Amino acid sequence: MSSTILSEVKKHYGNVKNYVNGRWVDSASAQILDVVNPATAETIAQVPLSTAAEVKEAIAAAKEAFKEWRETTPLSRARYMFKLKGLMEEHFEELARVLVQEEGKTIDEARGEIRRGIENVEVAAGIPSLMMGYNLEDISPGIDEEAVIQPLGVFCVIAPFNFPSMVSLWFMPYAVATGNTYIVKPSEQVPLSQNKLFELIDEAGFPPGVINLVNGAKETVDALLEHPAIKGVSFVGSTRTGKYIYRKATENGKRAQCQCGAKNFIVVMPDADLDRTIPGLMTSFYGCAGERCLSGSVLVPVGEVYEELRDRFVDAASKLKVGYGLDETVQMGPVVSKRHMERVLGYIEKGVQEGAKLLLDGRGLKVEGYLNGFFVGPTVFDEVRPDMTIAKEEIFGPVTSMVRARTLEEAIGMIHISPYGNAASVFTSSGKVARDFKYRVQCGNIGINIGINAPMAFFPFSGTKESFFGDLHGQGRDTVTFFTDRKIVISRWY
Amino acid sequence: MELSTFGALLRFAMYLERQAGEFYRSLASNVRLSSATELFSGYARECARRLKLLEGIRQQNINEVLLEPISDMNSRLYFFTANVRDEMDVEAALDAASDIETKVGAFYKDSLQVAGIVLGEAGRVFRKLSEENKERGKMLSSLRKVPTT
Repeated sequence: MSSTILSEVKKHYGNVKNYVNGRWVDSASAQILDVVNPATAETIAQVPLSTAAEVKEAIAAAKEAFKEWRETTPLSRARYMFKLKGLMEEHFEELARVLVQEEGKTIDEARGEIRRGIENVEVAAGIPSLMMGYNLEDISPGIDEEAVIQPLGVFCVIAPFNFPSMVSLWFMPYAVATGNTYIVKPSEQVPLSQNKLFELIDEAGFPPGVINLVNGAKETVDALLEHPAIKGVSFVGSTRTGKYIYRKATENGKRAQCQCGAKNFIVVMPDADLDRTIPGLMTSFYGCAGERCLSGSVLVPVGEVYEELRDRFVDAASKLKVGYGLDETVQMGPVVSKRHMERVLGYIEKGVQEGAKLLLDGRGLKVEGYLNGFFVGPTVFDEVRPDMTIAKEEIFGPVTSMVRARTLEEAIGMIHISPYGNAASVFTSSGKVARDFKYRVQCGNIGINIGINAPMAFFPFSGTKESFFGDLHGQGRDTVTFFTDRKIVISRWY
Repeated sequence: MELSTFGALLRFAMYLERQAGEFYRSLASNVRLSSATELFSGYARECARRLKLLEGIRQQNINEVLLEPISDMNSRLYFFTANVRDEMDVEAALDAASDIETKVGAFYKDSLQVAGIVLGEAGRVFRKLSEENKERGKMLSSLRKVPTT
């Protein structure tokens, strides 16, 4: 059989452009960043940090396009979504490989991400049903009342580095299908996936100004948050940035939904089926190199399962194949950047200093053929106390902290002390334990014998506490509500 | 090679179908085997159909939630020789074809056993392909001469 390494789509993508009013345009910004392949450390593109003036041009185009787009029938708007889905299917492998090149995840993870993005486009294509209003006759004799669902105007997304293709699709298809117009601001670390997606958006023939792409960083974000024509903002990223965006957006009278950081606890009960549990834990803690906001971070063995779980977990983690994600046999890729690698390594150092026992050390990992890559191997700490830094802070890397609990009660107590509330899972054979867990645990996304509780496109991606600011989440009905208003009409005819 | 991921399994499955398809196309074009041309051409077309099916499920049926690492699957157990010798007679061709059907069928069956969870919906296709290999194996056996003792 030939090599298992897929070819790179391109070695260098050149200067990334903005897409405004249906045209590709160069930014005039003097601030330009390198986009780096995290497996090879090679620069694969340059991205401009667009100016406030360029953001205003994109907003003006979106605002102008809204006038006709909101009058386009929902069925016609849905057909654009079908066209986009078809193009994404046609270019599926290319989209996935670009994603690997810029973010570092494995090709399967990239395919999974593209799939999830397509699923959101598919769900949004059902908009004629999703945005139907409701009514009641005879609220008083001869008087009827109805609620009409209407779009609002221009929305935007500020997207994170860890899912460069999918996250904008948690929001954009619903916003556009409901009749709004849109601006995507990708992470400046990983702008290429959106660039590829916008080539397809262009090919799908959306009217100019309906969907726009503006690359950039903080100045770009601030220009979006301060502009009066922006009706709402969706954000996914760190809690610190999320708080800033939520505050600034709401101060300026905008809707905001900010999905933020996480510290996810995975509880394993003594009655868990370890043969089934261990693979689930591997993908939870080490899938996407631990850079999912749903990644397991703290492993909590309850009672007598501790020793066997510890030994089998460390054994499985030590066998994971780490390398360039374009190699189809690789099970874990690098982290996104040198800076992020140093941050993760800093946490490992901190864990050692604070007295946790390092059972598996991912530092100093060298991958043959990719010696400059930003690799951190699977890492496992034991004897972690809940007050240690590695048990409290979001590491966003392939690092597991084991904290023992005597009872389920104690494990749930640990979860509730955490300021975050994104996800938590329990592995058990007991229906009673599973029911207690899902009933009581204060997290948005709960897993029962599942390590990655990723909601499908037709469900909201939930979250609570410091993991979410707002009230309506991305995806599903929540997001349709976020992008629309309910106008009430009361009528009487003589 | 360790077949350690969903993608690696699917890639290897596609490799097997390509190899098998190539083998059957070569048999179908061999003049010494003209009595079985129709059979082998049909099998070659089937391999092309199965390859397309696999490409489809790799794209459509990948589920990020189920991307667990796979262990204990290795490609070396399922490689086969796909050389067609000019002097090959029908009996030898049927023997070689039977070997291919057995190995490819075993690959799908073993994959289901080892990685059924990771395969998810793709598992149904693997089961179907394995059954087809079994049926073709039976057909090939029935075409061979009864051995003389």
